[in-house]
Amino acid sequence: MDILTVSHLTKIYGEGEAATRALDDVSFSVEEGEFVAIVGSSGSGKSTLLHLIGGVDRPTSGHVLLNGADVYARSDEELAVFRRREVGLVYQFYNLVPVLNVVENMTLPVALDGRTVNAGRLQGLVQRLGLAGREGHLPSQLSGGQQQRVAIGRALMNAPAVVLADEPTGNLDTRNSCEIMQLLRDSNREFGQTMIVITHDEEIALAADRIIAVEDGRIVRDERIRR
Amino acid sequence: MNATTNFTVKSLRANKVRTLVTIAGVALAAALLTAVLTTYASLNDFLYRNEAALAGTWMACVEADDSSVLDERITGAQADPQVFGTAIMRDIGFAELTADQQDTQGTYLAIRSIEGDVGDICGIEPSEGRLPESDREIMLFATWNDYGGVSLGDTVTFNVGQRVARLAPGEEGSMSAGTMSASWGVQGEAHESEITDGAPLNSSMGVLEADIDGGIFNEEVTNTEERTYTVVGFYDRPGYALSTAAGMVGVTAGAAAPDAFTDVFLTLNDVTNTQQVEEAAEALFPDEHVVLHTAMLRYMGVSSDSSIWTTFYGLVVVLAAVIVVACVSLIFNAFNISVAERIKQFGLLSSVGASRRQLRRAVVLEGAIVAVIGIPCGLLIGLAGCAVTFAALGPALAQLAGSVEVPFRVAVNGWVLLVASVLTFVTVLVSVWIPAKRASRTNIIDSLRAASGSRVSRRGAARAAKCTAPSSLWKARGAAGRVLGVGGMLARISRKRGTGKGRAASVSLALAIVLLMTAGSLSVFLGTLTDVVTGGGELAGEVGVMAQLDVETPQGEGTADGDVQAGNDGATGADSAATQPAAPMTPEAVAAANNELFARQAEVFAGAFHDLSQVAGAEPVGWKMGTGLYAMLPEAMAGEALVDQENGMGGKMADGRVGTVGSVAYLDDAAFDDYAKSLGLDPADFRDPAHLRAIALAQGYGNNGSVYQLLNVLREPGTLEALTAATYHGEPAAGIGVGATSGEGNSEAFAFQPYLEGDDDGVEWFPLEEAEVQTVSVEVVALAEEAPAIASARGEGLQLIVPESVAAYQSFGNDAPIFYGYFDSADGDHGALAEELATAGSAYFHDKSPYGLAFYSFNDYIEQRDSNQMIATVVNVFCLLFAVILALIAMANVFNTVTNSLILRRREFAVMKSVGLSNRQFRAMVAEECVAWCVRGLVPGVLLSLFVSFLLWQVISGSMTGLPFTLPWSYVALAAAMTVVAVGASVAYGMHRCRADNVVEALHADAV
Repeated sequence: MDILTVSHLTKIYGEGEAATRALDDVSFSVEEGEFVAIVGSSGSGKSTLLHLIGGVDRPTSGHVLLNGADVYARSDEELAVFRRREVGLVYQFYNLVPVLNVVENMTLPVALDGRTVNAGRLQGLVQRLGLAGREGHLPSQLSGGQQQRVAIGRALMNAPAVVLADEPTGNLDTRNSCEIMQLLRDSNREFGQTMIVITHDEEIALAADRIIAVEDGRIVRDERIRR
Repeated sequence: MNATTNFTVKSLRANKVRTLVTIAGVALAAALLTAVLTTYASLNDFLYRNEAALAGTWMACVEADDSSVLDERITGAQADPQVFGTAIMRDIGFAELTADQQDTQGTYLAIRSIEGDVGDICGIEPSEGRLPESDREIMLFATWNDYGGVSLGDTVTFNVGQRVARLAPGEEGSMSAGTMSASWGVQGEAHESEITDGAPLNSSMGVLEADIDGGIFNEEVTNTEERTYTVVGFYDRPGYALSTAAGMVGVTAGAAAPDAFTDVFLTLNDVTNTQQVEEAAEALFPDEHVVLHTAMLRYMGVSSDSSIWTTFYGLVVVLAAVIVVACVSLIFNAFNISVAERIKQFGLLSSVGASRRQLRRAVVLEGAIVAVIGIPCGLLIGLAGCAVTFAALGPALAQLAGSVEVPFRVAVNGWVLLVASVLTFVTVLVSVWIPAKRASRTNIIDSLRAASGSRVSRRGAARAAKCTAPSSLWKARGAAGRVLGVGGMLARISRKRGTGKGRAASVSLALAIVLLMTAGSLSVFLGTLTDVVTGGGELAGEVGVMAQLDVETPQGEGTADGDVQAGNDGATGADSAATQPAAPMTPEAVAAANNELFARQAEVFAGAFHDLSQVAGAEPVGWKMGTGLYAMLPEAMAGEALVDQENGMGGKMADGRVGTVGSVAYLDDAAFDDYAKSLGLDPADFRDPAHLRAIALAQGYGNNGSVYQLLNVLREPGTLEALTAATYHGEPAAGIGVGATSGEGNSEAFAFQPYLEGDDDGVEWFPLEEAEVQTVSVEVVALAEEAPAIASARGEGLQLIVPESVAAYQSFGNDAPIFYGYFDSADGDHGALAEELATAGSAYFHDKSPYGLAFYSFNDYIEQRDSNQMIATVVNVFCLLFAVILALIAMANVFNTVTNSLILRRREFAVMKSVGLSNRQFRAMVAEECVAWCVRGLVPGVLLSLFVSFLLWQVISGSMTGLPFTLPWSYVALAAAMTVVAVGASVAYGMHRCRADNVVEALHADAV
């Protein structure tokens, strides 16, 4: 069953002569529980694609359907709710709130949604992410790998329909990269969590179920890895 | 352009809004400093020119008696390089004047010759015609033209001789005569010379008249010869040089007698204090008496000794300090933020090899560029502001300083521009120093990683460590969390855990409040000062008429009873010498006669008011009568104004009571009733002939020459005794004087001293204890804070207010009240109304009054009020301009800090948005921060303002004691409103910037 359908998605930055076509009529769909790697050179439009799927940006034209609902038919306020509940975002530079500690960062989407924190799920995630004992630490007191694990925790906390990761290992050493990828892979396998990961790392890409290659804002290759 | 400069210029261009706001801040700082200093310099320049016009530029005047070496010394002084200029005036002689001439011109015409640049140095300027050029020409005071019938080109002939002292009959010995007039802004040690019989008297010595001055000498003019002069000019400003103790000067030229008394006026080069001036003058003229022109020296910056000058100087210092503090804060904030925002750039520069010095230089250079652009703009704005203000208010300012002939203009002063520039530049450098050091200390790794920890304080980390229990996570804490939800909570957490940087906004807000309150306090205190100086008070009517009757000159026929025996003329001082009683009188009879006479005059005045009210266009406001009062009151009742003899209003008497000379205002009954009711009193209580009651004013302003004082006149209600008549062996006193008696053991007691008419126009004092006196008790039932409009504003001493009907039976010992009638004009033409009232009044007093008229005059109060209002306008406009500019600085500061504290965190906001922070939650978060900024700015702001207001109050109290310390509440409200507006505008802009930033871009802003 398709959990995500992207149809004719186009994003143009700027106007007139300065206009840049970051995404050009992109269409594809993702099945529930799929692990998709998006590859492409720098500036190919893959990050734009990810942000459009995540409801962070608005497309110039086209549609994104998540769980059958059109993402961009929502108002800004509804879109904020969508981001809290339906997607989890992980960035290369972690993007944690500096004044919040580990558990606060992880539960921020829950808090923004006005719900109470599921203590069991939080504990489980903290254990799973290897952050036990660091619950009260601030981002500045953590290593890069740890910060990225907090970001993943934040993305997974709400059990979203899809986790979107933008070069999650791009800023990490090999050992940390492996650990992070393992975490993403595990949550994909164990919880059936749909994952879309942008990466430059061939190894990571090869670990995915499917690789979509983007160049100049278009999909140039879409292949499923057969195992 | 090297790399550092290039980088600096680019970063300035990249942040246009902040660069412009910062330049504007620097420009405003320079403008304000320039304006304050220019105002100071212009006022100084104006006072200097004013003093120069009135009294000349002389610094020291040598009064030379020793003629033997005088010419030699004058020649020596003129050759001395330290002497800039000299002017000489010598006594030629004294012209005897006729009785008529003496009435308008003084006892003598002191004829003096001039030599040197008397125009500049002595301020001798003909108002008409020219200066005399020979000993046959003369320039006279303008009154000779106005009253003496002398015109330009006329010849005048005088008997001119030498004044000589003559022992009064029956006296012998000698005495010393002091000469010194302190009223011309001059200062010198008492110049005493020994006077013996036959000694010549010069123009520095007052007229000797033993009967009047109580001395032993009279004087006469000897060796007179007839001299004829052609009148070539008149002067209307006597200044110091043209008015002598013996009379106004007739200015001529030509040689004087070799031993003539001579004044040498000197201006000197390169003197920095009064002592130098004095020493230089004494060195040139040893053993001669030197008078210093202190007013002039003060304006030249050579001396500063008066309290009003200290107040002025203190004000300038306080204002300049406030401006500098405000600007340091503004510029410091701007650069601090600029550096914090670019910390990554500095790390990058550092990583490619920029030295610490280069980084520091980049920031300092940034400051310097801003200063170089901002300061010249500021100087121009400041000068232009002053020019516009002075052009609009110049005439009023000139009037405020007591001159209409000398224009008030902008004095563009090199040192003012220099000081303003340097002070602003130093302000910029000081502000930039700390950010520059921070930039130079940038840790490459930290800054490139943009270690987010820099936003969290150590205490914040400790707090964060405690919040880990899942059950307590995101529990609404504080009012913010409860009202504003998770947005408010986020803001609260951010504030509690953040480093102090967020406080910059609060600090600038606090400062904004301080700045506005400073302007407010200045306005309030200066306003009060102006009010006092200009008399203040409400206007009773547009036009006022005043009259006093001459009861000894019956008018018309059938008014024989107008010639009433009158003994005590009280405060009016009217001459009652012609009415010697035929038979011994008791004081009771004297008082009764006065009361009767007084009552009849009151009827005349009531009729006058009635008649004047019929004048076309006149709208009667009310009338009153004013008289004097000799009061003796219990010490507990009297305020310090009366008890302290130095105030000159009264003092403690030998019997322990306090004596004072005060006044009584008889208000017309309607006005009195309104006034009494406004104080919650029953007007009927004040009309009992058997029990006199009055309302009194509690306080009065006094001025002892340098300090205005608001003093307590009365402390509490009570009963006082008024002296209504005194007789000495059956003879009524001609008047009552005031003096100190030599009471036993209390030689300085205040005392009333009645006197009788003596022989030869003299007076015969007798002690009160030896007199038979009549007194009347008056109960002061209430003390009022404000006088009714129709009674004049607060006087200086005791002032009782009673209804006019009291005049029918009680005169308080007076026989000649002064009438005041007040009228508004129906059509607004107060000038014409004043003329009409003058005519109608004269006609009434001529046709319908049984008595003659001592005087009748009118006052166009509107005209006076307009000029007073102009002064108030000047003060208000000054304060308003100051407030506006300070408000602009404060707003710029708040804007800078608030917008930047938001913009700096835009990535943080983007993160929150990307995980689902809705716009509503974002607004709630920002709203919470705004409230926190305002609250945290308001409290210290108000406290600091109190302190600055207190400082200003202290400075102004230096020239006016008793000024109440009040807070300018309207400005407090304005400050609060401005705070809200400034924060609102800044937040709107900041949020706009944050929203305009694509969340995606903001999230990636981390990448260098």
